[in-house]
Order: sequence, then structure tokens, then C-alpha cells
Amino acid sequence: MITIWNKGWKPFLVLLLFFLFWEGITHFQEIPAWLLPAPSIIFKEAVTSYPLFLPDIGATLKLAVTGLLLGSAIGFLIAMTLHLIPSLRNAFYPFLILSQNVPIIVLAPLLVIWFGFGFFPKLIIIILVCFFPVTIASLDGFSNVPRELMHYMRMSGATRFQTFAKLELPNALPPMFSGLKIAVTYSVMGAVISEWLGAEKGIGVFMTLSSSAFRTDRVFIAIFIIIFFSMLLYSIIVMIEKNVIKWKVKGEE
Amino acid sequence: MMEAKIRLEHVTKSFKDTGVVLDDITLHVNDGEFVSIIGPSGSGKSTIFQCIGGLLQPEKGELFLDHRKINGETGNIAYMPQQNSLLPWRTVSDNVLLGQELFHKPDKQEAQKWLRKINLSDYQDAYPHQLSGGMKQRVAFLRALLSPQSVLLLDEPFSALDEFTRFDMQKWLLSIWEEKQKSVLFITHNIEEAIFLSDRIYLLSPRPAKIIREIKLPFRRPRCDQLLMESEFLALKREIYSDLKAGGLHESV
Repeated sequence: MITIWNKGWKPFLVLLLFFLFWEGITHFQEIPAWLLPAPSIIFKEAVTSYPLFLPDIGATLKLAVTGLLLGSAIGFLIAMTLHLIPSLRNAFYPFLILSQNVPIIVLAPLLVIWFGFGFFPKLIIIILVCFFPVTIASLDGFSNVPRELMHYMRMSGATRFQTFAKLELPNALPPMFSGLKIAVTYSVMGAVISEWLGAEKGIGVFMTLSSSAFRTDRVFIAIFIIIFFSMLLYSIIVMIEKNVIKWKVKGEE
Repeated sequence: MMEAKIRLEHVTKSFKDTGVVLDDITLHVNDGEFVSIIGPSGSGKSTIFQCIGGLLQPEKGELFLDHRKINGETGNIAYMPQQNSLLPWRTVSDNVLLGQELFHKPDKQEAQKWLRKINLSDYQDAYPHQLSGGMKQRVAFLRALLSPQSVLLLDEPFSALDEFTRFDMQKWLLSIWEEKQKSVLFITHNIEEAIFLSDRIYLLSPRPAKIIREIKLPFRRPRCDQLLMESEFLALKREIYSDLKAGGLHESV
């Protein structure tokens, strides 16, 4: 706890000052609450009306986590396949990038037309944004193996599979976690965006409804919820990373 | 005469951009023998190793292990490279077992026994970045020694160490090797090191590499420090130096 405090007090102070400034400016400038509610109003609203959006949080989290897990798994499998079969890599690499160039805003309504308003089309959107950073980072890690290590493995008679399992895969773990960290922040965003299209529950729905009702305080609640859960998922990834990667990654000889 | 463990006959290898690198190399290592190859840097010593290791196919000539032709076949030798090439994500004991793992189920107990023997048992769960240069090379040598193959190829293993560590490592290597008596082919450009360690020495000319001389060393084992000061040792050192010089070696050794 103490170490977290030692590291965290500076950003915490900045945050505190920011909220104080915000609170002050809404009071002194007499900004109406529908335009910019003071943090205190937002906080009060959050405390009183949380039963209203609790189910929304559950729905969005379920969507984001499922999408993240599936997206990362698919991203990893794609990277592994493309790496182990170089001819596939050459053929498919451009399409990986292409997949990120299709605007989600355009794709999402199409997915709704094809698959309806259910869980599935939303999941596709999250998978689509989450797989990419994992794939690119993994591919990078698989192929950036130190030459002398590769030489040792080949001289010692390692098979292709052994080289992958014992050298390329562990070598890719640090970049893979970097990819995962990007994916995790996309996943909550992706979930919210996909809910805008139409859903029964979800932070995205709560946000759209609040926004069209000029309940700006609730819009801010939605924003804070998104930030909070993005950070929570992110720190879970960081925790896993610390447990998996125990060796020194950079600065070796 | 003893049985030749590994034998190269008239091995010739050239590359497109550098021309002929190995010119009709014929050499052998007997069972349990320690043989060194001395040659100037860039003379193609490592190319010899890559041919034996099966990474390169010679254009002409044949390689044998126990009378079996092994041209282009990997997995026949245990290898210790110039840079220690320990896998950074493996602990010391897991690194030691890597050579075995490629061929059969690793013997953890044997690894522990040897780590105790070389006074590294305190470090068996440490990661390579926590070790000194000399310790890393010990681990790398142990990894090669515990590999299932009966021939060790050591590629300038001590060239990155300082003079004191280097001499310690040479003595240490001999003491360990004398216990397990595998056949060793040792590459170096340090004349003293080669005389101190070997039963026989091959002198290599600069590129294209030819064998200019084969020297059988008269010194008995186990070898001790005093050997370095004996007149016979010094005379041999001079002789080899002038031979290499006559062979067109310009750099100081």
C-alpha cells in the first residue's frame, strides 16, 4: 500500500486540483448543470441513482471482457499461424492492416443488419479492435529473436516447433503484453461504441439516453465508469504481466 | 590408434559474396580427445562449425560421426557459442537442461548435481542477467556438457572474458571435462589457450582456410599452472606463432 501511495500521490494531487478547479469554475462562472455539472453534483447523482446503471455496468463489462479474451486469443492464433507459415504471412499481412482501416462507425450498422441487435455483432466489433494490437505485437516478438539465441537453437538441433515453443514464444511475451495493454483499453471503448447502435442494457445505452435527455451529470458518470473499468482491466493485465515476466527484458549485455 | 569420433574429409565451402571460405579441410577428433583449431579471425573457423552442426552443406567433402555421414544433418553435436546464449527467461537450472530437453525428458537431478559441483547451486533459480560473465559461461558449458551428444563444439567460449577470468575458466573447463571426457573441438585465436587445453591443434590459414599444420601436444594431464612457464610450452607457442605468421597472418595474436 505504501509503495502505491509513494508512486501515486503526485497524479492523485493533480487529479484533486483538477476537480477543485472544475468545481470552482462551475460555481463562480455559474455554469448551468446541463452544460457542465460540478463534480459534486455528478458524485451526488452517482450515489443516489446507482441502481439505475448497475445492470448497465454488468452488461458492458461482460461484453468488454468476453471480447477482449476472444479478441486476444484470436489475435495470438493469427500471429502464430502467420509466423509459422511464412507464405501465409506475406499473403495476409496487408489484410490485417486493412481490417483496421474499415471505419467501425460504418461497419457497425452493417453488422446490425446482418446479425441483429444481440450480443454477437457487438462482440465482433470488440474482437475486431482487440485482435490487431495483439497480433502485431506477437508477430514482432516472434521474429525479433536475438540472432545468437537462434544460432544456438539451430546448432543444437532444435526442430521448428521446439524453436517456436522454447525461443520465439517466450521471446514474444513482453511485446505481447504491450499489445494486450492496448487491446484492453480498446475493449471497453469498443463495447460502449457497439452499444450505441442499439442494445437493451449497457453503459453505451445509458450514455445515449442521458445525453439525449440533457442529463449531462449522467453522461459524466458514464465517462467515469468507462475510465474506471478501463484502468481496472489494465491493472489486471499489468499484474499478470508482473507474474509472468520475471526476467530482465532490456539492457542485457 | 583411437577411433575417430568426428571426421571431416576434404570439406570445401564457398559463399557467393566471399568466395572460397573452406578449402579442402580434413581433420578429425578422436573419442575423448580435446582438439583445438587456431586461426585468425574471419578465417572460417565458425564456418567449419556450421558445417559440422549441419547448418551449412559443404559443396565438396564429407563429414562423419562414428562412421556415419552427417552432411547437412543437425542435432549431432552439443554447442557452446561465443556469446553465452542463455535464454533470459529461463532460470539457471532450466537453461542447463535445455540441451537435453531438445532430445529427451530432462534429468533435473543431474543438473542439480552438476550445479553443486561447480558451486552454482545457490544460483540455480537465478536468471542469467543476475550472473557475472564467467558464471554465464560456466552455465553455458554445463548446458553443452549435459546435452546428450558425445561431441562438444566450443566456439571461442572465453573470448569475451577478461584475462583473469579467462585463465580460471580454462582450468575449470579442464577439470570438468576430465571428469566427463567427451570429445571436444575447440575454436580459438589464443595460442596459449589452445596449447594449455588441447591434445592436438590444427593451425588454420587466413581465408580461404586451409589446414597448415597439425600439432600433437606432449603434455600430460591433468595440466597445471606451471605448464605455462615450461620451456617446452613457450617454444611451442613461438613455433605456432611463426607458423601462423608464415601462413599469412598479419594481426597480432
